[in-house]
Amino acid sequence: MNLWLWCAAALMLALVPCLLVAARAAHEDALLALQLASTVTTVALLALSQGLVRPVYGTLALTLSILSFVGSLTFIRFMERHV
Amino acid sequence: MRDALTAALAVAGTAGLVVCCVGFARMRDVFDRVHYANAASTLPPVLFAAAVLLDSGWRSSGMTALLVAFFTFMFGPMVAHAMARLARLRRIGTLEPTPDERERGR
Repeated sequence: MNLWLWCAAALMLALVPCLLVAARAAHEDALLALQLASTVTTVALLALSQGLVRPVYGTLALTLSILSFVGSLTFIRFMERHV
Repeated sequence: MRDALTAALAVAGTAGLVVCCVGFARMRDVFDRVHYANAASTLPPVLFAAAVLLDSGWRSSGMTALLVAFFTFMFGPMVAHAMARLARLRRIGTLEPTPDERERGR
């Protein structure tokens, strides 16, 4: 394993606190946990892209960084309507 | 030298994200959690993209990493703002200052 793969493994472990909050906390906390998990996954995909020498994973990270923003805003608008 | 700098930047970016995730889980209030989620979307991805850029140069991977850092940096605070708005709406029911807050001069 090289440095990039170790970083990716550490980032995957960092998803555990986000999952715990998403499973146990209130809805707005869970949505925030989802946003944080998206950021962590984006960087983990970049690390995997470098570690496995697969540039296509970098494209996946780029797509996720844009789509997670759109998805979070959609969820927020939906939840605002049901306050 | 260049490899050491790359490793230092990658480790710093990873450590920043891990610290933000642990801090996020330890906080009890959504407004405290917003700070950690927002911090995770600003500095750590930029450090990590700098590491990728140093490692692979101005080629496809480096440019992709730079774009990822840019979008995360731009969009993170927007989501944090919208999230704080939503949390206040759900907790208090209005975005306007409450009479109590007005009295305290907030």
